[in-house]
Amino acid sequence: MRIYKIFSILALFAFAPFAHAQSDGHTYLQFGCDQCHGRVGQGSGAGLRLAPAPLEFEDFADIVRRPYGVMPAYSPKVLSDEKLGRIHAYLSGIPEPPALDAIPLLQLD
Amino acid sequence: MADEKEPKSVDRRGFLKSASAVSAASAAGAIAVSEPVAAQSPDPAPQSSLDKAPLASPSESQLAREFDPLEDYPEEIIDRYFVDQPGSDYMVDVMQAMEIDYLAINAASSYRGLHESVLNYANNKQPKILTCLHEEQAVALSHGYFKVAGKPLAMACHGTVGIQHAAMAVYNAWADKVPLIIIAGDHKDAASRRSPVEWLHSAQDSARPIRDFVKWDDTPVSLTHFAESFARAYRIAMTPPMGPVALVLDAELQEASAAGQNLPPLPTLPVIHPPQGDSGAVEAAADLLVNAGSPVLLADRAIRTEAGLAQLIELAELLQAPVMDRGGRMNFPNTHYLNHSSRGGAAVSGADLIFGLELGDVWGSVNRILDLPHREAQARVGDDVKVITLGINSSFMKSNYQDFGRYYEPDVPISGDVETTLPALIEAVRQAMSRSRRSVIARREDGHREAYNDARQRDLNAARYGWEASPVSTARICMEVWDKIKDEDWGLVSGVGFWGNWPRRLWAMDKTHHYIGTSGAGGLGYGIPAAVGAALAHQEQGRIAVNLQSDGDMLYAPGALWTAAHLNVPLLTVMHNNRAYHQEIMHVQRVAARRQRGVEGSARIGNVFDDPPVDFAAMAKSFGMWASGPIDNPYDVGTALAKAMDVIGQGEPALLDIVAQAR
Repeated sequence: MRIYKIFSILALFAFAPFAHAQSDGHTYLQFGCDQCHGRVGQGSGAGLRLAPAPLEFEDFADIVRRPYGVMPAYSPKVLSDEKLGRIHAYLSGIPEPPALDAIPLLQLD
Repeated sequence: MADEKEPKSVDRRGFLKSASAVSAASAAGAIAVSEPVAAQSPDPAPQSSLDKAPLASPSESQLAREFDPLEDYPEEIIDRYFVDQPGSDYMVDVMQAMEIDYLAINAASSYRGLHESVLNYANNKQPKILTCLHEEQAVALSHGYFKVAGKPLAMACHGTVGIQHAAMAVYNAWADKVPLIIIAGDHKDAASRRSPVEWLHSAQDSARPIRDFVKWDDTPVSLTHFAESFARAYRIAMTPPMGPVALVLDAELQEASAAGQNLPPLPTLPVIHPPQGDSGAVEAAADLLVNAGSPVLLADRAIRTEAGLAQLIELAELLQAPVMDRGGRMNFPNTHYLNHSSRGGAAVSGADLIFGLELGDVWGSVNRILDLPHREAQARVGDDVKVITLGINSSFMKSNYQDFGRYYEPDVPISGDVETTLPALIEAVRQAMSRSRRSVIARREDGHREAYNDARQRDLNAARYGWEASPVSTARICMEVWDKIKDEDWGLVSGVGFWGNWPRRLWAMDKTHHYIGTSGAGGLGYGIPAAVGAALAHQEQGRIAVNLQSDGDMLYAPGALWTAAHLNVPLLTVMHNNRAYHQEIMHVQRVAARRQRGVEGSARIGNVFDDPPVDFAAMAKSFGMWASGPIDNPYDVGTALAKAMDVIGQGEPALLDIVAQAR
């Protein structure tokens, strides 16, 4: 099992450069991530915020494989490490939104 | 058929009826026929466009032709052709006595007698016809109207095909504890059914399809029976736990003459005294509340009036107990530092006492079942937490539909109406609170203010993520809308669970009319018709209504857009156009992930309707409503909303179609 885990982690890192080249969000949308986490990973009442600045890839992958709460578990069989890398790359490329004090509509208090 | 927007001819008939009623009364003597409605009834909606046309008085020759003795007709011929004092006129008298202002209908021949009486006997004043294009819409419109106005409507439909169309909306009203009076036409006497249609539109037991989710129904067989049953239906519907009721009206009872019948006096409007909780239970609850270390109040369908809102604020402040507003109604101002709804489970998990006020699901409030293969249950609270409940809704339930939740036995269950019981509970809390205890409790305030402010800041910060995204984020849309309505007298008339709950998190809600909850049973087709009904009630109070409208729900009942345009209600509808039943995508995706199979993207099939995309603005325009969109650039939303608000300012409805994110 330990060997498998080490291999899996190595495989994830191996896929990461490839994933960055295809980070248009297609895979993120196809697996329905946006349904709870938002189109740009901003989060919602149903899912946590993922971006910008997502978790480090290893931690991110660990949560996808063994989530807590209501998040369904995505095994490598249904969401390959390569595709997971694409999703992480997409989230990594999402820019920081405007600062709170730069948005007039959010100056409520 | 007379039309709401063309009252001229209706009013003329009403004028004629005034003269007719006088002559009929003098001729009939004992018949209890009321004065003409136009002379006795206050106009329930004087600002409505329906009443603006001037009256046209009949000429002398017209009066003579219509009311002089029918010299050309022998008595037996008159009896063959004409009916004087039809039973449905008396039914209208009863409805007026019950102060039923509107009759929401989808036209049907089985209640044509009543329909005609409303138009030409009641002068389409009280009740006034609200034309709906589907029975489900008529029920949902009545549902939304009640939650703003606090008065029930009646709706009418066929007892067969109409009831079946209406059923889903009735279930929503039942689950949402909303009273409405359903009138279902039928042809009871098999020997008098004149056509295959009347056979098809007749049933032995017309109310059967909805009996599992109405509080009561009856099939009156006489006008006296009708009067008593209507008053009884009103009382049952309006007594908490409130709910829909149904009366089946035989066509012959409506259409046959009541002349010569010794009808009873009209019933008086029932006075409702909601039940108050047992005094012993109230004192026991007060003792627990006062001595709790970290009590939390959970309120769902608890508050319906401003007085009730003030009482709940008083109780929360007395106890320095945060309130989680579960959103069945607007139970607690989100501007108050004790509203901790945005803290979610964190506010509940640390509690040593939970006080549930009209909770729909008590067990589910202190536990949860995760959507995992073995559906494991988790406690949301500690083992030693005490639970008090106050409410009346769970005291009346039926067996078939399982809307009552898992069984749970609280430490102190108080069976009583929340608003009726709160004054006694507040007094009991004051009595139970020692000076030292008061001092301890007061020290909680700073912590609660800090937690409120922290949650508020988190919400504001969360709203900025995705601010510039396309499709437009729900936070961006909601705050663009808020910017346009914050200085108006407004009411949100839709649920916002699929909108990230942003309005309940960031709009300033401190009046009961600011939010009215959701459908009740989650049956689609509620949103737009309920919004129209709620907007009508808001219009009566000079308010504008805001409807944040799911696209899937809209496609169940788009005909309600026509009713909105027809009634000219100031209703701002903002489409949540995500082109999918997005929640269902995740259900299928979750199951596929659980089974470790599936082609990438397959969960979208059957759940997405983006090819072709629906043009909601074109749809609204086709119904005669101002509309704009689709808009997918977040920086175009504000400008489009400003234009829509110009239309709303003229008292008319407007729809803005925004291509939005899932939640």
